[in-house]
Amino acid sequence: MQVILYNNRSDKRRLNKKIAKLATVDCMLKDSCSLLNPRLVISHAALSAFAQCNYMYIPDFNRYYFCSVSALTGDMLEITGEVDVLMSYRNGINEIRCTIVRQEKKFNKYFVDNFLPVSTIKNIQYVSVGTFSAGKGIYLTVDGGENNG
Amino acid sequence: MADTDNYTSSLLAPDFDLKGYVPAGLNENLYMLTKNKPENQKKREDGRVYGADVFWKFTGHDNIGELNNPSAVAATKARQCTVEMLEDGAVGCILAVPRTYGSYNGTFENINNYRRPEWNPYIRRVEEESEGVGYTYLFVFNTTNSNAGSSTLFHVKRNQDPQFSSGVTAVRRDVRYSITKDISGIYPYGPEIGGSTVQDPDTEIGSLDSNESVWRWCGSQDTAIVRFATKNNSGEWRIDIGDYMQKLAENYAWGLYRSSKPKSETPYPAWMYTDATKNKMVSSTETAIENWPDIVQTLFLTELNQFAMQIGAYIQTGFPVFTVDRMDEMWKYFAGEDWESENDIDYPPSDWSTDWDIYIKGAQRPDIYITMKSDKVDQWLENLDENKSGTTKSEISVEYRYPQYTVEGASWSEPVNYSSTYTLVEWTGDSYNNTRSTSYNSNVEMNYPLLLSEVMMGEFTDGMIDSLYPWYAQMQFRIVYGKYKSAWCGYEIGVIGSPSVPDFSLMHNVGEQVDSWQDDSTVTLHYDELPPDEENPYPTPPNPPSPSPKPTYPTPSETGASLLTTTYNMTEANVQALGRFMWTDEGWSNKLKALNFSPIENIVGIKIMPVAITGTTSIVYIGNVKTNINGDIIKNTPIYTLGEVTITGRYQNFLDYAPYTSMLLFLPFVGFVELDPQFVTNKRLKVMYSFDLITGLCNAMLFVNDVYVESHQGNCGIDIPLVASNRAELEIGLATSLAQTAIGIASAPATGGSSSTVAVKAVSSAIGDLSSYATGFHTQRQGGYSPALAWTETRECFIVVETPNAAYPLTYEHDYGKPCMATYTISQLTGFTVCDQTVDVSGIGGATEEEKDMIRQLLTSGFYA
Repeated sequence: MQVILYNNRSDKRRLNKKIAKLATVDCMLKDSCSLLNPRLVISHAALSAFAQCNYMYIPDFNRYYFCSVSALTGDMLEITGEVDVLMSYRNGINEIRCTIVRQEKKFNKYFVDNFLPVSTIKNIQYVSVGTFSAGKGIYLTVDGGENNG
Repeated sequence: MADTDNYTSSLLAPDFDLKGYVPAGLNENLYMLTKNKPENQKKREDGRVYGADVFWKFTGHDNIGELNNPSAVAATKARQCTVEMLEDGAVGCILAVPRTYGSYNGTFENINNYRRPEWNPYIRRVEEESEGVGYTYLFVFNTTNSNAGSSTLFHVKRNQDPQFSSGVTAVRRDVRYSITKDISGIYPYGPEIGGSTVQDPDTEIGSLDSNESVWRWCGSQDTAIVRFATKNNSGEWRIDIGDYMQKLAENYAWGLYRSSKPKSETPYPAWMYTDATKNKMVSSTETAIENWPDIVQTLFLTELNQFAMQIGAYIQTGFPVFTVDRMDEMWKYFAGEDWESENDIDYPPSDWSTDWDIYIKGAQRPDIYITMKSDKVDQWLENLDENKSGTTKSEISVEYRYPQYTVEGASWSEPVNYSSTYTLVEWTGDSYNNTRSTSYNSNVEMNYPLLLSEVMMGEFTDGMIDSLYPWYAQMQFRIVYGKYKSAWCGYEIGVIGSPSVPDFSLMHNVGEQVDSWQDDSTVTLHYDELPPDEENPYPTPPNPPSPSPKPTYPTPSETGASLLTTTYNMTEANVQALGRFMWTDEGWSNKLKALNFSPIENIVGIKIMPVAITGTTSIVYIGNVKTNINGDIIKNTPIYTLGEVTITGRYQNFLDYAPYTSMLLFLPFVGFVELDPQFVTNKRLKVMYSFDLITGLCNAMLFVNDVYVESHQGNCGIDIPLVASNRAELEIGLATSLAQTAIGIASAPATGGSSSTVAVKAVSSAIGDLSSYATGFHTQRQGGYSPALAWTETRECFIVVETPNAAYPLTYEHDYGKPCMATYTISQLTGFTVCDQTVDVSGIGGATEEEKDMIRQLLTSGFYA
């Protein structure tokens, strides 16, 4: 079967990875491997830049894999893969509608963020409202007075 | 020479309805499809950068010195022009040599056999039936396969006056031309011509002023770089030369003049020309333009090889209008072959004025939303006389581009040698040629947000900028309606920080608004906001209706307490005089009437209050005894407005509220009172006082956004004791007051710390829980105080605001995200995302259960959408 070898520059956690195609090569599946963790053998000559290969896609499995390349013999390379479920199922994942707990761009800034580190040093600010400057007066209150005088 | 001999091509059409001559206003009476190279772009005096798109470069030649003499312009001199292809594969252009002036036979020849056969020119001379003077030539080049830099020289030779001249020519009403359109867009105001000097309308001919203005002459010896707009106006040709016209020639029968009035004051369109007597300036209107057949015979001449620049030239075409991608059809048309016609020509909107709003949400990798609203375009869409192709809103799209950045800094004394190009999106390209349509081209409706692709920062090329200095990201965008495109609207966003980690939240300068070049478009930047029409992820019940009008501010009022008493505002001297009066033998027993025989009992009280009120001056009566001492009678309860302040939250987030933020308000004569940040944050607080002149109490009233929310009483009146018993009563009352009043703010010790600290939060995965964060002020004051002591305190009303110091790492949102708790489809999101544990992955087809578990684990632990 065939395998498409890539160089992946994206974080493992990224849904849509940036991958640069290296080669499409024929490969053989080693015994005792699984769909999610395949082990392939390819010819060394088929991948001259194997040092850059860290990602692959197996069309027959319809999955993407993180992979590492190790030499078996001087002429053969073994590729060990670990399924990348995000990339493999990105279309389905993109259609998921759910409650988002935390998000980089869409968030409510008035929700308490318990992850936020705060310092023990507080900031004290004084905000002036105004100065009482109504003057001063001496007020005499008497019985009678104007009304009864 | 038969003018077509050298250039006859198999594409000569037997007949077509080309009559007349080239549309007005352009270089050498040649109009052509042009596209300008970036280095040829000009900068206007108003700072706008523009550039015509020029495939071709037309250079007018003055091969005769007499052409410098205005009077000799009309002389018989041959003129030349060089047409140079600037870009490989430039599409064909149409050159139309204007009709000549007077009676002559002009020829058009290729000097020195310098020609470009590979341009496959198609040349047709059109004879004027009615005028019978001169010829009009139509040249169409199909240079798709030719190389830039090639040029050819054309020469017009006439028996008499050469009229292959620069400047503006009249456009016949019935002249229609075919023109390929869609170069960089159709501008409602027509071509834009780069050039050298401009002329002030008041400047004498022959002494052109190099005054820069919106207008520029197309260069005389320089190049004329133009581009076009077309407008087919149902048989009514129209020259819209915009706001300004260039004064071309004063010495000739017809000249085109520039209006120096601003657009707002200039009738549209408006231009002036002399009449045949050359002595009269006539201001034209559209009506006058209709009379042009009388003057279309006349060639508008320029002088000194200056080309007029028009901002608004519409060209009528009688040919079908072919887009660039339909050049083959155009050739067929000229050849008289069957050709596929397009729909009717659209008339582009005369005004593209659009109000743009840019919303930037996010700091490091923001989402950028653009909304637009244009009444002008809406009107055009509905006007089927102009919108002949029936362009609908769903066909409206937005193109945006990011030219290369500029780098500036306050401490940079020299221009930065900055050559790298940074782009905010993943595509790269030359500056000003980097246009990318969004994936939302279709079904984009007006007034709805258009989400641009994620701004991918960090994907930079070489040339890092010093992170200390701000740099600018310029955004430009335009709207595309069917076959038409508006002018570019732009906005500059200043961003501080290294380009690799820019932070839009630190914009130090929202930049300049770069207006659309030619209309009244506006651009407004909103940072950290979502467009109003953006989906609200937090639907909430509507607020209940307000049951009643909110309370109004207090006003001085007469309480009625003075019905049997009188309150006087006394001066100190008068009070002392009163004291002396009280010790005199005034025959009190004979004068005091029944209510009270003791003079002292007739004095309710004397208080010093921190408020001065004036009233009606009157004689002070004690009881019914006249004292001959003056005082102002006070009847109303005084109200005093101390001040107001708008308290802006420091963080504009949850940290601005309790328990993270605490507020303590000091009210003069009252003391410290605790303020709930919820009440006052981002609201306007107003403090007013009312005074009881009899009891000496004051009432501090707090209004938040004009709503009465709190009141606090204090004792501000200092009693002036009259006799010993009176003094004793005062002290008893004060002691009682002290026992009953306990003013203080007890601090709430934070968990796990002393009363002066709060819990420290870890920054790692063990980041602490802010829910244990508690704060409180530690300032206390127990008990009340005497008014006299209150008078010793500050008279300033202030708020002590205690806020936490939160540390937001620059990449915080990207690394951790922020609380969302809303429902979204993952495809709506970009960036770091954490789904709730309840995420349903059952719909992912083809995944094994183990894979689904893996997916769930990744989605709930955090991934990058």
